[in-house]
Amino acid sequence: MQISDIDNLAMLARLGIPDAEKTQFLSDFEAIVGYVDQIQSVNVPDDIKPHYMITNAMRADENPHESGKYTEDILAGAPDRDDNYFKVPKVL
Amino acid sequence: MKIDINNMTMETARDGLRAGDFTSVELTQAYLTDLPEKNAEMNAYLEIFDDAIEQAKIADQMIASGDATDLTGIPMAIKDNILIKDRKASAASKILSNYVATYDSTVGAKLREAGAVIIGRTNMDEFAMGSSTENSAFGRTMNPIDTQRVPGGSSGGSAAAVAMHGAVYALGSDTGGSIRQPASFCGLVGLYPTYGAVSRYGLMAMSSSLDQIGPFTKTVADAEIVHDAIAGYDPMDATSVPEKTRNENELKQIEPKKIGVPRAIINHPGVLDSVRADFENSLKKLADLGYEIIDIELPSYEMALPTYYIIMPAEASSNLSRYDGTRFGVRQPGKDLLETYMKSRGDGFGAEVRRRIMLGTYVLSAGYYDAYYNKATSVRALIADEFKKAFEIVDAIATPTTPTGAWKAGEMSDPIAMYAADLFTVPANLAGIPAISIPSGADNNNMPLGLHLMASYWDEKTLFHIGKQFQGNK
Repeated sequence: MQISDIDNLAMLARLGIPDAEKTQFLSDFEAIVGYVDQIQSVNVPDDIKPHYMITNAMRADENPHESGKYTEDILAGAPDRDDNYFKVPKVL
Repeated sequence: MKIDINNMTMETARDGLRAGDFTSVELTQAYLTDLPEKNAEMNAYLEIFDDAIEQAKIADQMIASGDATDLTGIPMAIKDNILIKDRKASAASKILSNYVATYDSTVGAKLREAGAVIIGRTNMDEFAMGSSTENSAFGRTMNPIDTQRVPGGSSGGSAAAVAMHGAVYALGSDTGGSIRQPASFCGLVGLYPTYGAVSRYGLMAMSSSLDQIGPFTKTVADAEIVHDAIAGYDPMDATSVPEKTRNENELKQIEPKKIGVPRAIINHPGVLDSVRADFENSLKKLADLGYEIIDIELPSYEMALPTYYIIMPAEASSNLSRYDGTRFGVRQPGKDLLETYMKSRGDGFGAEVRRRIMLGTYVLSAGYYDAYYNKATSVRALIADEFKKAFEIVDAIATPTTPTGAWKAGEMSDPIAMYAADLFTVPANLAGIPAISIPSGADNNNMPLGLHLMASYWDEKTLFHIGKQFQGNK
């Protein structure tokens, strides 16, 4: 792994990392990836299938609350707003 | 009547309130009297709510009108990642330092309806990532037994709040040991319930397939009372299990007799001799109580920790993508939206959170997904299968809760060494089975140690049964 890989992951994760921390990150990262890599040695028998204990079905959106009921509560916590919209910096 | 908070349990508080020995206002006042001083020393609470006495007055009305539940009027503390409407909830993170919950978590709503007196919100490792409560953006929490040492984590503030007699009980969340390990470090009982037992609605998600909410208490009997009050099906949590399924899966209510011991993992070189010695004492005590102690094989137990450190960061990196300074939380403005994301997240998250988001992004990225995430889900299934087979032979499985007692603050700087604190606790989360930590003895530094008991799905009763006998208050 190289610093450029750290930059790439940071971009994918939308996570700013100061240049000074990248070297430390790289060495921590290599140690952690080396540690988790030991699972490659586990032989999982064919009859053991990854199972998900519970079906993760989306809840039916029944009986929606009246439109706008929570708008003010939610927008009150927004970093920036314009009337009843979240306001964000320019995208492009 | 003088209120002795140092020996107060759920049972004594409930009975005292019902008998009219004291009111909830008096009980709450007894806790609040020197709480600011205690908290200044321990940093267990991030906020002590100013309306606790108002809550206690409502509870006293419930008691007077015969509407009391087991929680009514009893002062408690709640981890800072569980939402209560109109109160701050920051997950001990800078990025949520100004966040006020716009809705109640299901657990929060249950507490309110039950007339619980919520004294305050407790410190934690940021977004529940850590084993020492040193990763908080708002300063570390001390261990009340020795303030030089950590209380464990990530729910260290909840543990310290109860251990310093600053609440009768507290709620935390447990993803890999975040209730049981701090309970052990602070001499308390801590429970991780069966996955799907307690609603996660309104709990800030870290690793959704592992997270559960559970209690910190002084006794096993108290843990049962709190668990019974907060468990239950909730349509707002897609992984909450319907009552019918719970009842069908609840094991035959026979008395547990056989306790399995996975010897190989207990002989792991990272486990201190004093921990092993204390564990042997616990086994003797269980044998004296009439339990048959059987050595069992759980060959993949040691692989649980590396498996966990793939699945947990993978899920966390997805879950934490919502914190981007757009709709809530703290924004650090940039020249465009991308830079705003990068700056808000880079500045808002601490080092361990950033590390885990990066690791999760890595194990989920193209080219590595199969080797890491998919492989980890297979190993997870193998671990669950080994537990299933073990529970065909034994009623419960015992290990120490932690490989060491509480360490000194600042002593543990290597992330992997810190991760090893979860050696014994992580497998229960991966399998989704219930587990409890019960105070058992002490290490060479006279810091508390815990006995860790695991049982099969929906068999919390076995844990409570054995645990109460172990604590000698059947």
